Amino acid sequence: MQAVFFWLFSALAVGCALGVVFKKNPVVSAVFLMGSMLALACLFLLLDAHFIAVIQVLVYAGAVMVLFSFIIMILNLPQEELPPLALGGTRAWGVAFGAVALLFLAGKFFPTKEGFMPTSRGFGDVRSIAVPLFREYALAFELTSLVLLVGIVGAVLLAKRKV
Amino acid sequence: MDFRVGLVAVEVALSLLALLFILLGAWQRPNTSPTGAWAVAVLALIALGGFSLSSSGIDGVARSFYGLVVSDRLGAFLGLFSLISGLLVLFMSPAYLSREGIHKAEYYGLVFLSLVGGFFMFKAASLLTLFLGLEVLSMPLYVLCGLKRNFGKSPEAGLKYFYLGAFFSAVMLYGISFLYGALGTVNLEGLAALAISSNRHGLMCAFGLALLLCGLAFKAGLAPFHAWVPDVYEGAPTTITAFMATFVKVAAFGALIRILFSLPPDILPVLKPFGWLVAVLTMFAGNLGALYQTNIKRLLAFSSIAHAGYLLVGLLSFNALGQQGVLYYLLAYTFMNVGAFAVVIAFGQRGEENVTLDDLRGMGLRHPFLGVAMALFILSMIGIPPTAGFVGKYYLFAAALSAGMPVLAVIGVLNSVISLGYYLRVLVALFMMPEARAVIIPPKGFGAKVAVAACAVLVLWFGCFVSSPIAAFQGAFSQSMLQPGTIARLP
Repeated sequence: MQAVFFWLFSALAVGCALGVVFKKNPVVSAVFLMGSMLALACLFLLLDAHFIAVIQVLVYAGAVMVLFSFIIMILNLPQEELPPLALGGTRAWGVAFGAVALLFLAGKFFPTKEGFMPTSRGFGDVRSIAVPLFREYALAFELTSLVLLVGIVGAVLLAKRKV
Repeated sequence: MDFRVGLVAVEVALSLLALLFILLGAWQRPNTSPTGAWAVAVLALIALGGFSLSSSGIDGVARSFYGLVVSDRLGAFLGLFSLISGLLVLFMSPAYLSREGIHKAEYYGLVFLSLVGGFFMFKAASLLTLFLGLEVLSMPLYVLCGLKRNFGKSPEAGLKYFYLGAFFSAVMLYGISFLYGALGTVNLEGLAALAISSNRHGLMCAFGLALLLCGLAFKAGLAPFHAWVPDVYEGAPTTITAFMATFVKVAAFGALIRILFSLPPDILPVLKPFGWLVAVLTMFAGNLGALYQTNIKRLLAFSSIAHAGYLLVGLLSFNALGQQGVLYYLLAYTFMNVGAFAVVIAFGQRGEENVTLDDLRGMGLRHPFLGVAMALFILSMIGIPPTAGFVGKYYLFAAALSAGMPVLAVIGVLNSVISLGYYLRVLVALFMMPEARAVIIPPKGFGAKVAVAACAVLVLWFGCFVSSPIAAFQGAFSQSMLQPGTIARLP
């Protein structure tokens, strides 16, 4: 059963990633990227990494994609300005680097004879991240919130016309 | 549960007040001055200063928040310096901000938040607290630098400081991540296990430490990371320039002290030549650069680079004299620099007018109080007795001599001589030149005069009565988390 889901979501992730590269309309590409990220989140779920799965949806499929879409719409790129798909200089480098990275990752993560290590109890759930965050690192967490607050206040202060 | 909130009482109080000021800003009507916010801010800083003075008597070291925070005398002293700097800056703020049309309640909130960041840096027992403190300190300053949106150089200063600051924060964080990778901890005590020669993680440690120190050197304005200082100091509102020149320098040197004295002693001989080179470069860059300045804010910016170089000389000597000297000089530097900027504010006119040396011609005779005070601050920066600057410099260079670095001390004195070239130009302009303008606009700003008077008195006071602060500073290092053995074990 797990294997079925794994192949399903893997195919979805890779297919959507290809869609990002080969679709000409940037909005369509962005939607494909979102699909790829959602499929990745499902793969994380299969790996018992629940927290990362949720964060993947919230941060990448949610926040980052909204930002992407905004920028695409603000820039309003006309479609005909995009160059045609051809294996030119820059693109050839991209493909070469991609292939090397793929080989490297495949060598690193391909299951060895011993198989993968079993995860410990409670691995990857929200609790194992929440407890240190609000106990050992509570102070650091609060300091970070101050940084974010200053960012917001500062943006309003500098950007608003009449304050 | 290891939450001793009492240890961070000052920080909590400052943060809550900052939130209050930011909220007040939302209800402030256009073209009004938040006098109430100013009064609350001044009273709060006085009260907190009194509180930290009374609680700095606690001997020994207290830790809390799972090893993120440590409270010791070194941190208490540095915090006190910051409060003094903040208070003096607040006194000259209302008149200046109203003149430039940027008097907002948020200003006080951001200044307070910046102070909070500094306090956490002083109390850092972990690189995590140190880094986050630095960010809380820097972010409000980026905003404050760009506050004068109608004055072209202010947004430039804010943006420049923001980009470079963000870049160096990233560099620093990268360094910290290397240290974490090599040592498995970000606690400052864990740094004692750092070894760059014998350990198999030696290269990682060296790389991480170098990047971390680069990030702090940027904040302290040390060469070769000093290029931002003149532009940012010139463009920022003058009150914020004074705040940055004193408070940020105290914070950066506080962090440098914390890190350098947490290192194992066998690294120091490797580190010293680099520090030596940086100190010499910084002193020359500051003093030679200042010779060509006509804008007095830029001139003081270059002089602040030079002062960072002098401070590094004391820090590098790694002996008791050097530690006392660094603390004493930081205090003296706070008074003389805030005072000098307060005089600049008092002479200045709306829209950053009247801040060049030519504009100051003859003003010392026309306004003797401000003129004499400025002369006093300048003499203190040169290092002429009986001013606080002389005592500080004496300790710094004496420390270098007793640590066996006579060349560094000689270069320091030589640089003091070079600095006469531009400091005396200010005095000549103030007292020995005919007045530049037919119509003299009288300097305004009661608060700035209060700040000038306070700074002048303190510069003289700490130039004459040396023994009790020096004795107190001696205790600061030995009664802190820094192990006193570190110094004794040095070759």
